[in-house]
Amino acid sequence: MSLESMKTISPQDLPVIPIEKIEEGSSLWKDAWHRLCKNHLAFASLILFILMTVFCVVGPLLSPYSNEEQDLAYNAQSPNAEHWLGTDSLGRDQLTRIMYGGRVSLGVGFLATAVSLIIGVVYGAVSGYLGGKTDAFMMRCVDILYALPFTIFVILLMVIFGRSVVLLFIAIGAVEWLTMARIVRGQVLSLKKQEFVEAAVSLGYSNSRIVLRHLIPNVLGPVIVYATLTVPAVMLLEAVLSFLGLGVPPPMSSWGVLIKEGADSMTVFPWLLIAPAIFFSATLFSLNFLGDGLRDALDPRSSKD
Amino acid sequence: MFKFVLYRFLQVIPVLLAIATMTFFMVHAAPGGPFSQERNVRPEILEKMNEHYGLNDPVYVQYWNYLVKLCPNKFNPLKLFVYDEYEGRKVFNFNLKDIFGIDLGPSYKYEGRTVNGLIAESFPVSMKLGVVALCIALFLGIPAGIIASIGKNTALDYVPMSVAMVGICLPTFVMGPTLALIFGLWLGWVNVSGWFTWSDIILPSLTLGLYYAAYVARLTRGGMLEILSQDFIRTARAKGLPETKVVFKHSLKGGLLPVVSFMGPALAGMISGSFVIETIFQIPGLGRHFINSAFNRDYTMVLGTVLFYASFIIIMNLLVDIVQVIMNPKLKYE
Repeated sequence: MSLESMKTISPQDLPVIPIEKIEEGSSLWKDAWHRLCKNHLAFASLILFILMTVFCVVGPLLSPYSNEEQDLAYNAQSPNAEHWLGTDSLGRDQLTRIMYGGRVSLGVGFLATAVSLIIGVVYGAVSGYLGGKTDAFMMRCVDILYALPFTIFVILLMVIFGRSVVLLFIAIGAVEWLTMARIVRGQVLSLKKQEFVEAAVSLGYSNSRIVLRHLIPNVLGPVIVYATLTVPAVMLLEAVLSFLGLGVPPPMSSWGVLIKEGADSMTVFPWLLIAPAIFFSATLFSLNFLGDGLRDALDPRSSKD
Repeated sequence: MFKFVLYRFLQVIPVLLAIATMTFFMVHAAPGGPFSQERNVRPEILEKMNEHYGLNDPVYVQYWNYLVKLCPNKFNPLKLFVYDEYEGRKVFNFNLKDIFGIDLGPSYKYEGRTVNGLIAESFPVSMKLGVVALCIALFLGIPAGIIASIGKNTALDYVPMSVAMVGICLPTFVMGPTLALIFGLWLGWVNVSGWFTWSDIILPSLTLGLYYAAYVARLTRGGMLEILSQDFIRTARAKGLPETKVVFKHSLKGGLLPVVSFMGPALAGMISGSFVIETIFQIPGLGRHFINSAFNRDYTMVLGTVLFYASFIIIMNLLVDIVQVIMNPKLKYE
């Protein structure tokens, strides 16, 4: 073949390989997805969780009752055809309240996790990448913060500065980022010795570009797994605070608030406790199983057995 | 070893100082003074009260005074038991001022009472609850985990582990009222709430303990499985040791390491869990005092309780760390 003819090779001239015969390059994410689908428990959890989210987000639009509408003529009814899960002592439809409460609970879970994710990933990546004395100092700070009993501080914050949703996000997010920072740092420490980082350095990229574009995308796997497990932890913390009367301010309600109200009146109206407790526990259940399944799927080596 | 312990002890000091500083300024940044809620208080009286509690001084002076009073300056363990005239015998009295000389100041809301006194009164209750719960967690969790690890992937494994997963996903504030509903209300075996007879400890400690039993079981299983798959266990089996000896003599020490390292967080969790438990079951422990004082804006009490809890958790974490190093000498060099 002369040089001339090489230039004119077009895709059509190449030998045609039947498409099904190509061994399809399977990406990490595709592999992980297949593994997740094979794990029945995790997959069922994923479905349950999606259903739960849809139920809370869409449900209130379909419900004939509103969250706040009180109807004292129908107060404290046990579950019946009109009010599927009964009504509370002010005549509010329990099912609708559970949907609205779920919005708040899930919302707090995801937003606070997002806050902790951003702080934790950036902190951990910077600390691991810079290394040396900076790393030692940054990790020492994390160690000290680890020693603080944070639940107590969140309670203190809520008491002192009043109950507000924004404060709740910040307080919980600020508690939960520490472990994330440690995980990311560990990953980055092992990643930064690899050739692609060396290549990025030799191309003259700035530190921030290397951290943001090259390192962080590579630690996404463990980050996603840990984030999935952080959401239930955050929801639990929010519910504990709400249970103690320090969570979301009224008139908002969350599952923690509903469980608290149910527990207060369980001697007379036990259904007010049972229904939100089942919804809350089922959500925690599905998120925990999903997190376990994701860990097995994304990092088969770290699986528990 | 000694160096390690000393190093860890020295590390505790700045952490405690940081906590004291953070809490102090957080509490002082709070809007509204401690007496602003009281109604019908004449300004002169308010002024006198502020003066009495030293609230008119600049914040840094107050901070310094607080820190000075906080410093432990003696150690007198004999004062743990003092003669009580009402009881006519020596009783346990956990008063930090008498033992260590730590003065947490007067309570703003309970007139004439000190924070030390309130802690001395309520902490033993929480302590009793916590110890019983811890025993339940360990005595249920560890055997369940060992059984599950021996019978890996059989019914012996699946049943306890499924129960444990349910336990983890049922938070204390769901479990507590449910247990109270079933055993207190429907079956009528125990009181629904209160702290009067010996049986009142059953439900709260079960609620707190079962949750951690579930974690302990999972951790024990994981730790045991890792050890059981190692070469020295194969050697032990190859030389014909009975399985009981393999499990209890060779694997248990290593297999329980994850449980030991979990004890630190578990303790902190049990304390914050006790806020909920003591609220559900109306138990006069320190957790309930903390929540109530937070609502009452009883600032000295809040400050004192937070510091007390924080130091308690930190010291327990320290002990856990030391036990861990004793059990696993590899850690010493890290």
